[in-house]
Amino acid sequence: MGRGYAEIVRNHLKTLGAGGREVTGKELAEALDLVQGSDKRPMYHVLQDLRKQREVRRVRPGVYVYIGKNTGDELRQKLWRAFRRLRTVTVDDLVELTGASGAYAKEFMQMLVERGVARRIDDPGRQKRSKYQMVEDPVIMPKNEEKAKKLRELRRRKKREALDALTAAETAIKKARDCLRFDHD
Amino acid sequence: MIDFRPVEFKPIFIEKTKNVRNFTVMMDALSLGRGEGRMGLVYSQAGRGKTRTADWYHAHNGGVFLRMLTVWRTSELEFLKSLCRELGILSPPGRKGPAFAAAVDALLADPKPVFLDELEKLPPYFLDVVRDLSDLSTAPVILIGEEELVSYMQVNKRVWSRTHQAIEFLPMSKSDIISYFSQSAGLSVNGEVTDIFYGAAKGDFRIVKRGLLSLIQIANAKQTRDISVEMAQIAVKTGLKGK
Repeated sequence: MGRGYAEIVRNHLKTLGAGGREVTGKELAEALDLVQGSDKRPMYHVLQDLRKQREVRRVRPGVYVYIGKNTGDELRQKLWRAFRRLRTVTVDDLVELTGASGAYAKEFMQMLVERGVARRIDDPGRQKRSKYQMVEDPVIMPKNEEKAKKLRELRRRKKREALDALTAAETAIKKARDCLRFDHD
Repeated sequence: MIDFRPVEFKPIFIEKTKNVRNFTVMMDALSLGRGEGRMGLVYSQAGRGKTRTADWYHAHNGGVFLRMLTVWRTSELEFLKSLCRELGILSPPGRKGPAFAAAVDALLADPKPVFLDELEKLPPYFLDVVRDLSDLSTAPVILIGEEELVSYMQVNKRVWSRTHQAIEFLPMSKSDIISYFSQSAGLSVNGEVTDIFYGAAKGDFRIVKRGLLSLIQIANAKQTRDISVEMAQIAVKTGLKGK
C-alpha cells in the first residue's frame, strides 16, 4: 500500500475536490471502487494522514476539502509567519506552531541569521534553548539563495553531463556509420 | 534491569481541545460571510491559550496578526503604519488617511483575516477605526483579549452588531491535561495526578506547561515513567508555584 496508495487517493481527491468542492467519504470510496466497510479502512487511514499533513481539511464528519500538498515553500512560509509575528522565538516555539521538525526550523533560522534578518541569543546555561530575535523586518520572506544556488549548480552539472553523453553517443554513432560505410564500400 | 528511556518534552500544539475546535469553527463561519464587514471576538482570562491558538492558526492559514501596543494610545497612525507593514506594504504612507486607504486597498486585493490582540488597552475610538477597516475592506477582523474586551465592545453598538462570532476560551480541562502530557512527553498519568495539576493550575495552560517540565526533570532523575502522586506534588510545588 504505502505511498502508492496515498497517491491514488490524493489524485481522486484532487479531481473530486477541484475548485475547493467538498468531497464526502462515500464519493471518494465510490471513485476508488470500494464497497465493503473493511476495504475502505486504508482509504480513511490515508485521509487521516493527509489531514495531519494539512493537505486535507475535514469540514464536518465524513466531508473533506482538498487544500493541496504542503510543499517546502509553504512550510517555510509558516515558519516565516510565526517568526515575524513573535519577533523573538525559540526553535521549540516554531516547532509547536508550525509542525516543522526541529532540524528544519533550526536550519531556517540559521538562514535568517546569515541574511542579517535575525540574531541568535545564546543562554550560556541552556545551549539547547537559544533564542532568535528579529533584527530587521524585510516584510517578504528572504529566499534561501544558498539552496537555490546549489540546485542551480546541480542542474547545470546534470545538463553538462547530458550534453557530454550526447556528444559521446553522436561520436559513437558516427564511428559506427563510418565502419558500416567502409564495410559497404 | 529494563533500560530507562529518558522522558523528553516535544513541543506540540494540541489541536484536539474544545477551545481550538471552537476557534477553527469560528474562523470557518467568518469566512462564509465573505463580502461584508464582520468581526469575531475571542476572550477569556489570561493563560487559556487564546493568543497561542491564534498564533497557530495564523502560522498555518496566513492573515495579519497585530499585538496592539500601549505606545499607540495617542496615535492611530502608528497602528495603521504597522498594519500596512504587516500587509506587505514596504513603505507605508506617513499620514493617517492615506495609510488607512492603503491598508483597505491591500485587504480588498487579498481579504485575509486580521487578528488584533489586546485592543482593549487602547482608547475606545480605536474600535471605530477597526470597524471602518472591516466595513470597507470586507475582511474579517478578530479581536482577542481578556474579559474586559467584551464590555469594551458592547458599549459601541455599531461594533457589537457587527460581531458575528464570540467565543470564550474555557479553562484547561482534565482531559486536556491528560492529552497534553501524553502527546508532549509520552507520559500517561492517572486520575489523582491529573487532579493535582488541575487543582493547582486552575485552567491556566502556562502553569500546566511549567509543571510538566518540572515533572519531566523529576521523572528523569528518578529514572521512571510511572508518575506517582508524590512526584506530581513536587512538580506542582517547584514548577507551578515557582518555588
